Amino acid sequence: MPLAYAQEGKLVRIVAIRAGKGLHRRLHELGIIEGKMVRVIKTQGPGPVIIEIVNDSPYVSKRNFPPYRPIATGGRLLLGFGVAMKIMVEEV
Amino acid sequence: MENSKGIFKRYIYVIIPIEVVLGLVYSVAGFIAIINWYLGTTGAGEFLYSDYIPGDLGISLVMLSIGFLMILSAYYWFKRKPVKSLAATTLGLGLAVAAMVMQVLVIIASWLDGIIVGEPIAYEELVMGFLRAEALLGYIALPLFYISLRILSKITT
Amino acid sequence: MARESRRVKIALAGIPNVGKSLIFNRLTGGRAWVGNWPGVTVEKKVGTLRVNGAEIEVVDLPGIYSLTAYSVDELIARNFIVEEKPDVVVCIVSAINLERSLYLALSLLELGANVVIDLNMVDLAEKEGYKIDYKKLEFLIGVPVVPTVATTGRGIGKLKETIVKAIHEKKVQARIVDYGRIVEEAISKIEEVIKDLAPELAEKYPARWIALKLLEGDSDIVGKVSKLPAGKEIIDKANQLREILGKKIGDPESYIVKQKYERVLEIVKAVVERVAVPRVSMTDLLDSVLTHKIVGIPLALSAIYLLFRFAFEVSVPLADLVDVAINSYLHDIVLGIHGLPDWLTSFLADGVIAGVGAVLIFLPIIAFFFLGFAILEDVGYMARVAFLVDKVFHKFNLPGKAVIPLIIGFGCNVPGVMAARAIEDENERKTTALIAPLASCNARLPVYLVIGGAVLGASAGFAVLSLYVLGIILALIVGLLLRKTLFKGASSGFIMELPPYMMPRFDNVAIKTWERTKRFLFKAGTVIFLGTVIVWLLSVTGPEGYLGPEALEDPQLLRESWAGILGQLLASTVFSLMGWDWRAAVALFFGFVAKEIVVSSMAILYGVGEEKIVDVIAERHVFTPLTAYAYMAFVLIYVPCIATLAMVRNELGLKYAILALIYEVLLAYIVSLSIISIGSVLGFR
Ligand SMILES: Nc1nc2c(ncn2[C@@H]2O[C@H](COP(=O)(O)OP(=O)(O)O)[C@@H](O)[C@H]2O)c(=O)[nH]1
Repeated sequence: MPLAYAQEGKLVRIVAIRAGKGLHRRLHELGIIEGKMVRVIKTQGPGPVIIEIVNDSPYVSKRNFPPYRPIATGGRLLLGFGVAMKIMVEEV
Repeated sequence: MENSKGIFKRYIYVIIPIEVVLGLVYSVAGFIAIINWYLGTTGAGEFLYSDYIPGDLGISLVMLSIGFLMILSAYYWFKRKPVKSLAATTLGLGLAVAAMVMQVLVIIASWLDGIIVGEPIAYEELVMGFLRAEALLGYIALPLFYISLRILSKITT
Repeated sequence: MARESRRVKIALAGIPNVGKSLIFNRLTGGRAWVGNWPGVTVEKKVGTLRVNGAEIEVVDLPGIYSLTAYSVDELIARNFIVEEKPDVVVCIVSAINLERSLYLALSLLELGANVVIDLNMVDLAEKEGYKIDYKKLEFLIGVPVVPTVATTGRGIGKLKETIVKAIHEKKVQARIVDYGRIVEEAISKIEEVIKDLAPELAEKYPARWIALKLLEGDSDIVGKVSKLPAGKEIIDKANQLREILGKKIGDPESYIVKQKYERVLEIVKAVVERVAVPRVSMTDLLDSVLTHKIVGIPLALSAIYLLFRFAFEVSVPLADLVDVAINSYLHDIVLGIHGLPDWLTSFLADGVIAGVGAVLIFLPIIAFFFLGFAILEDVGYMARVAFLVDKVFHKFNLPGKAVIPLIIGFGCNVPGVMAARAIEDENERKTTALIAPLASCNARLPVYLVIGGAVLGASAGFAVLSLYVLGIILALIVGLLLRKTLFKGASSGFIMELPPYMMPRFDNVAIKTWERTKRFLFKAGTVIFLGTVIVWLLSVTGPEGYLGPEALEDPQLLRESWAGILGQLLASTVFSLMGWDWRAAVALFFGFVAKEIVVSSMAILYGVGEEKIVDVIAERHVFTPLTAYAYMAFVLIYVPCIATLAMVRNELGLKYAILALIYEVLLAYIVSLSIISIGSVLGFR
């Protein structure tokens, strides 16, 4: 399923990126890498998406704080419709 | 979390009803503005409530948007998403305040303009400007906006 | 000695939105030389940092994510670092966007730069409920790290000290990332070859970095190496290793990037520490409403409407002040000077002052428009508008970001064209710069208002609105056509960082407003001024020579001028189907210079003052409603004024400026003619 079709609020895993060399590299450098998880914050389904990259294990869980959600230190990314169609994801 | 529950209680009983009523009033005013705009373009008749509501498509869009946001807020409320509901309310009230501030600025500007150009100033018209729907409703929205913004910033980062 | 006399130079690098411009201002006190990087239209800013009596040159590099050869900005940055060898590269790292910023930091380290890390926005991270152990970060990457808050200035003093210290103690951490045994072996093999065969290359670049780039197949480096005498041998060796690697680990480029990213994540994991239970973030909450599928668009339109109201209605007193000052006061002064020859008085009063006046009257409107826009932009809202329209724009093969130059274009097309710079993809950028002039700028509005008010009566308001919409629709359609023909090619993708919403900062807003307004003032100002002078000249001279300033008052005489003759020629030939008066045609010709001038030249041509022009047009039945609307559409579309063309030339080159000129005139002609023919078929008059 392309990321453009993912549902709002869902956590998805990137399975493939079908893009040319330049875009492929750009996405990797932004942290959009096969196997990584991404939270769909906002979508115009199907359309552009706003995502947050979620890293598998929550960083440093100090005893007294339950790991509600991993701290996202990556900020939000806006992916246009075109790009969102090139990223294949599966729901987790 | 206890604390924010307390805040929410107040929010339910005070802000939601006022906000829904306010949203309705804005929507009605927005519709009348569209009708007036239509009457104006076709010259089909007198404006409705011409003292308060101009025949301006833009302002009707703003007022209807405020109405939409209030509806959205109520919708989130019934879906048990109180925080999102509050966000919609706050933005709606914020837009209402912005529209009011803009109207006031415009009045001040035309007053200054009168002085610069040296024409007699039609004070009556200026005063009527303060009574235009978006200004009148904006005065009500202002304190509500302040309160809901306070609550919102307390419960978020 | 040569070493001594060289000025100490540092560079600022960082991904977009880390607060780099703010840090630049904090370091340099805000004063900067602004120009372009050689050969490209990417802005370059240079300032001076003064500490302890020493002067250090500070160069602002473009906002980038990496140092590849895929993007112009990144090439600029890396070539600067390699060729100019700045003493220190300050890499600004955002605490709320740690991963991507650290990726850039590692790339800079690999390039062998002497890096100081400025960990900015630590206040926002704390608000999000986490802290960054900067001492540990320092330890892990081996270069100094200074936490700062650019908005309040916290840590800036320490940053300056650290920079000064780093100038004297260079630290190189080119081996910051370990790519695993297989790749490392390949790297050292290439490194050896380079050191053997091309020692001069190894002097300039870190050999390890060249080796990495060759393994990645970086086009720029491969090109540079193959130019060397021993180039072929090195490349062959690299390609051989690439192939072997490819069998073991897949595409080496992709592998290298992923490894580097893994290293980043490792570091992030080690230094981030949660200190509070995370709460819902305000930004996400606001976004859930502001980018909402249904209410998002009406909200954006409302915001833009209020922006227009602010620009047009609130700026009125200032516009009138300018008008009074120039057109009455200054004009009268000039007329009052005795002893000047007639032609000089007319030249000054009707040419120079009228020209300057025509430009300056718009200054308040444009400044207010850009002020409002800068506030929306600084809050972070414009990025969300790009998101809202992306789905529609995508259908026209344009990125959502293209909406921003269009909206700026509503204020003034000149900075609108320039704003297209922010679009990364070359084809999309050129297309956007070419369609931005179709946004109906402030200068066109008076034309609509005068003609619409005179002829269309009550429906004038609607007609004006429809022209704004028409402009946007045409922009999208032309955009699609350009993308299908001249600027073909798949989009390289619209990706944008979405920064959190922030309170607008006074200095940011002021700077942005000033920069855009300045562009209007100087660029537009000079060109429009010259154009007005030419208009004056064409009006007071004719085949019979100098007609005297009376020509501007006497329509009969004006007929005899060059301008009059040209107008009649236009009206009887190309515009004969439109049914426009020759005077209207002349006004269009003058409008080439600037759309502002259409109304004032009409006033001259009908021999009345500007305040009476509406009545005259209405009484004399110059237009029918249909021809009036067609005329307004023509004004909207044809030639975006000389200043805009100059800007297009500046950004894209002369060829595209000519293209813009031709397509817009043609399009204007086609659209107006269609309005007239379709309108008359439908029974309008
Ligand atoms: N709270 C906070 N905001 C910051 C800080 N640094 C920058 N900003 C804000 O971040 C936004 C982007 O900054 P800017 O300098 O334009 O980023 P650039 O794209 O890297 O040049 C602006 O609104 C700044 O006011 C900081 O340390 N703390």
